[in-house]
Amino acid sequence: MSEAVTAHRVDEFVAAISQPDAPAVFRDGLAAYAVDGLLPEVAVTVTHTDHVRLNLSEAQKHGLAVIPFGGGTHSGLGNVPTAYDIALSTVGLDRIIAHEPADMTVTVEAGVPLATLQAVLAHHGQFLPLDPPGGGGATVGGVLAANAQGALRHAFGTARDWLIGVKVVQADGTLVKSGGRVVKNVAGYDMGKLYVGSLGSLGVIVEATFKLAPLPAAVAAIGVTCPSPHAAAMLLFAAHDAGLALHAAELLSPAAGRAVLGDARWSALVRVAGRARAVERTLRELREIAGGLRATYDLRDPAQTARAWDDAFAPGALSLRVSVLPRSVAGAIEEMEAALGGAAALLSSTLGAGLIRARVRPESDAEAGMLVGAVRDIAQRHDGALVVEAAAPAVKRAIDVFGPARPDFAIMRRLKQALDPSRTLAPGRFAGGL
Amino acid sequence: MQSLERALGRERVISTPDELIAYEFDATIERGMPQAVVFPESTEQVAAAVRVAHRAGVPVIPRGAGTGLSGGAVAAAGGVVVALTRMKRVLKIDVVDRVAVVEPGVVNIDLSRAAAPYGLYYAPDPSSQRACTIGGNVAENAGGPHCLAMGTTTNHVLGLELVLADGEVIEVGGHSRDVAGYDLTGAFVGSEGTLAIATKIIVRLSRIPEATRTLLAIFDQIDDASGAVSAIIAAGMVPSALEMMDRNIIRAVEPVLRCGYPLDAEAVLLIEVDGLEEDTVEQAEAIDAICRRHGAREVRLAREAADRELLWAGRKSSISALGRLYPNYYVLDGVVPRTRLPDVLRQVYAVAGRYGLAVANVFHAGDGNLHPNLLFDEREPGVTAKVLDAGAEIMRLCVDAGGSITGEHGVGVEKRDFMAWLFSGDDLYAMSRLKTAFKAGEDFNPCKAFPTHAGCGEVTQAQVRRTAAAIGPDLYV
Amino acid sequence: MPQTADAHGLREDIARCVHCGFCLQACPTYLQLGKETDSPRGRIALIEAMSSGRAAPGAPPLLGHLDLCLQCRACETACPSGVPFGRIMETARGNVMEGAAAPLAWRLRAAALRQVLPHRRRIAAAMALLRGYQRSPLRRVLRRTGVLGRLPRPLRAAEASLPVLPREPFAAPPQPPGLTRTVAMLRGCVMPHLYPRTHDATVRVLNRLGYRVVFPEQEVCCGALSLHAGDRQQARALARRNIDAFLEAEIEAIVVNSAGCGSTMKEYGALLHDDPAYRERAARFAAMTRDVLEFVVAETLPALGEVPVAVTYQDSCHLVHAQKVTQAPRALLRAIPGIELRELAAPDRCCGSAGLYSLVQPAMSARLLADKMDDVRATGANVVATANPGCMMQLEAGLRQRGIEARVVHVIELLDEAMQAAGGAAP
Repeated sequence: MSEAVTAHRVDEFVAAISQPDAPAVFRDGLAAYAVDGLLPEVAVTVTHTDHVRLNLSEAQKHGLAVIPFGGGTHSGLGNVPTAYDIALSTVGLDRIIAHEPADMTVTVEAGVPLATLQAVLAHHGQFLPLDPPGGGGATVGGVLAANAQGALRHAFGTARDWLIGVKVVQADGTLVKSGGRVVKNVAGYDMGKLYVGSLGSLGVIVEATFKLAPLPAAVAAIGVTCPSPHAAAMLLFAAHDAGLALHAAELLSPAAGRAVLGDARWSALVRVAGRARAVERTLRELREIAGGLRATYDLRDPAQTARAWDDAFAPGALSLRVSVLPRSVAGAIEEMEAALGGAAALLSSTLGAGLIRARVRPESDAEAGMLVGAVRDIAQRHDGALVVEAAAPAVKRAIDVFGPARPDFAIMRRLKQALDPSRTLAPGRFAGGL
Repeated sequence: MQSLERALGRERVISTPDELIAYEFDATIERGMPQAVVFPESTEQVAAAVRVAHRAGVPVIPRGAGTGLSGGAVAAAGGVVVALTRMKRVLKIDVVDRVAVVEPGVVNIDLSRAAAPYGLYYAPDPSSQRACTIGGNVAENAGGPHCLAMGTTTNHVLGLELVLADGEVIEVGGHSRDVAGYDLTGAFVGSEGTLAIATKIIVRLSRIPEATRTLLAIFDQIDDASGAVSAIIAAGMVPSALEMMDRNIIRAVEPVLRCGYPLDAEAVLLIEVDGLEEDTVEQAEAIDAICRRHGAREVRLAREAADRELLWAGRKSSISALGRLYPNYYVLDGVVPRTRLPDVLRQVYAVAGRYGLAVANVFHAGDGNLHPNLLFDEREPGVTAKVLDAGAEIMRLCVDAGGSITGEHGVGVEKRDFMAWLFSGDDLYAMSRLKTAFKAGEDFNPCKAFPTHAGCGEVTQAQVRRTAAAIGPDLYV
Repeated sequence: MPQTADAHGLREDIARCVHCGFCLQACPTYLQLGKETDSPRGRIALIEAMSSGRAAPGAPPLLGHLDLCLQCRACETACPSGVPFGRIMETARGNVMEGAAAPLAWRLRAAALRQVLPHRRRIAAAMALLRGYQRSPLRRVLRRTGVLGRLPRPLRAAEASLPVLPREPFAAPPQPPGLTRTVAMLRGCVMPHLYPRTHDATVRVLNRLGYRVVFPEQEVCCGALSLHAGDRQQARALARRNIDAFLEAEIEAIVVNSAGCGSTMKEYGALLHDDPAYRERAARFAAMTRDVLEFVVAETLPALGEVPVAVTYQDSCHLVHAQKVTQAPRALLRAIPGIELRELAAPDRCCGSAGLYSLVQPAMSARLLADKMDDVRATGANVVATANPGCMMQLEAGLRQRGIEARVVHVIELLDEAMQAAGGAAP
């Protein structure tokens, strides 16, 4: 499609959505909406669900490609889009629609910043247990679309485990919902699961309802430096098996240890949380386990370590996420350290989930490409998989950031075809170029 | 039918009308006569059976143990029932990674038993767990008393091997959550057998907690009991289970199982906390105090494992024990926000009273998941119609309170006409697109989960549809 | 009209079933086949269809499913609604037998039982023949020449499963003097010939506990086999004769060491409920009936000597499911010094004996027995204890076929051994 034709369609689109009480359209300041170095033709900011509907139905009508945009903190995730005409910013959808503390549920619009939501909930002694690193400015919708997650994964799983209802605008502008506002509900297919992690490729999330967890009465952080990743893994397995009160349990590489704990050795970083007596007991047992492994045990400031970990693992120039079985973590992380060590890599693993994050500072795109290849080999050797969470566009173009297609890709392709036949939504971004 | 016998062997097919009577029902009052039942013993045989039905244009109805409470396994439009009861092997228990791979016919509790020697168990525990299968649990996204803290089936299923409607075999998900692509596993769980047949299921196992404390709180007023429930949740506690049983349930269960539920109580709460020893002590004390503050006349702590089991045996048998009071029950599965519990419960009794029906309530109070059981004798002329009407009104109460028509039993045959109270035509159409993705046509477990039109020739259905329409216009929340 | 009363009763019994499916995993045949048609819930649906006329009452596939039922009543234990499955099945079989479409095999079976069961002398004669055959060269010849292989399956099964009979059948022993209390004991039809040692042990234990044991001369078969075969008329006739025989004596209780007999005797009240002449006495008879283990466990036991064995206990279905006696045998075993009790994986699942079942349904019986033997082997026990002669026979056959080194006993025999090991005779 020639640029002139596209420009003409964009003009028509802008004219079509320029109605009273319409979404705001920008043609400047587009750099803030860059995706993999690509800029949209226009950016649209919406404050109402109807705006999203209008935007999408008109975009579809005019054959334009839309990428929904939240806080932009995780926009590095995904393949390089095959087309990008309109940035649809949802940050104006910022209402907390319902929070009945005694029900322990909350309904929010997609553009509510996660941090804002957490502050409101904390006031009532509750929280949504999702803590993606670098997610301070992330919106709820963005966290869902990217399935962004942090160290709380250990105890609380991922967004799919907390989302109980969702409203989405489909490519043709239809508003649809699934789930509801009660914590247990099996009426209808659980479409919410599909939108989590879909990068906006099936629909634009406009509203979400979550169940909530009570904030722990007491929190402590422990750093344990270990002679090897295997020792750190043994400590974390032992703590997990003992059913200790842990909210987070990460295995850190030496560089990550230095960044987070100021000690450049393999280490375990544990957030202990719960009622006072459970926390006391957990600390006592962790100290014993550490002693048995000849590891050094240190009480840390929980808020400060959490911040340091967050800073270390916010998406960077090259962010990788490897998934293996928990038993393979120690071996895989050791190999990754050897392969990436030269590139100032920080590694951290949520052991119980078999997840290893790497933040790497490659010196060139060529080196980055090589490192990605090396890590993918390591992941595959351990029967695991690699997702590139952030990389330079040139690096991404050479690969599928989600890795090779899986056997169920045919179902996914049919699903995308069924819900977004015109490929209006984030075309090419998702796995397999969907 | 001959092609089924050719594909599977004669001993794996039932097709004589007399014998098929045994497959006309599940645990509900729904009925539907299949043309054949097949008993595959492998994925290949499932695929072969499905292919035969697909070619013949005959409906396929997957079936586990037939303990479902929404008619999901009933051949509502005839067809071939694929009974997965012979595929009951636990294929793998991975102790380090806490994962098990099972065939769909594995009975829920048998998986926990198989994992127990390693200190692990499978957390979702529907009351029928001694009989129901993991495959059926996946289809319905089954819950159970311990979902309050542990989540429902969907939180524990990681991957599946599926036989699609045309016989294609495909794997979704895997041993971990982090597989690239759409979460097809998540979308499949709770699809009520309308998308495909799961022939292998990868589930997460959980650690058996170090300590468990079970309390029985006895109330003379049902409102006090619901008040205590709200107070426990509001105090920031997430007990592993928080169950309520009313007087009629106590009357059905206690004389047989002798679990120690007082026959003169209006309601009992069965509350369990688990975790670290210290933690359970602290929580049990706090819950004891809350219950007493809310008018509990007595709170008992089960001392021994045997006492605990007995308390739970009563709870888990409660719906099945209703046969002692009346020949039939119609169990509802409404959900309401937890704060609306006392109010909705009062209205449930009022509706039953208005219809002159006995009602027994047993439910997962902690999640606001109500199970009112309307009790009747279907041989009494006209009573079934009354029961269905009262049921519809109660469903509507739940919807109006901001809740749902089903928390864990599934929509099935019996509740599909209430779906319009929750979902717009657009919502339902979007959901139906998932069938396209899975290549599942209308013949794949027809008449389930979604409002459909003709061909489901059920007496109860026409009645329910009329009632649903009469109660209120479609509601889009 | 007993017929109408039964029909009404059957409808009400069936109405209790809410088809929740809780019984499925308790049913041995469902566990083997995975079919509703061979499950309690499915059989109830089939019986309902036959009784309502929806299905032909004598339809061969349906009767096959009824026939495959062991009547072990494990489903009753599992059923929260208290569906009396045993009674439903007995009534259904009775209705088939009394109807026009009763199959020939069923009629023959019932007729054969009628010829034998009421006549203790005929049983004794048959047993004497068997005893002779087992000890003669004929058996070896028949086995070697393969003639046995050409026998009908039930006969072949019987030939293989029967234990070698002891030389002498049970004879009422002289009772020690000075016993002040009295109980009657049922000898049963085959037990005196198959397991006289169990009877001897039972009498010794009861004597040791201070009871004189009497054996009413007019005793006949308890009627269980007839009842299970659908011959209610015969079962009632036998019950009446036993009531007459036992209630004549001045006794505190009727003690039974065969769980199957005890279970039927405890149900005499229900069986003769519509017989005004016997109703009351039948109820009294039922109330007086005690399984020997249940009777003994309520007594104060004397000092017991050591019996150093590893025991596994197989619940007899008619003790655990029909009579709900589960703890008494275990309590007794635990009371004996030296015994290590190793539970089976599924101790209350039928071993496949089930009265005549092992003869009538040898294939299913063998499958159940094979699973049971796997479980026994897994315990590593060298003694398998149970509480019913049928189970003892079946388990002995299983151990023999598998070459498992273990002996089968009735629990009461171990208690007797422990008493003897402690020394001292009955007071």
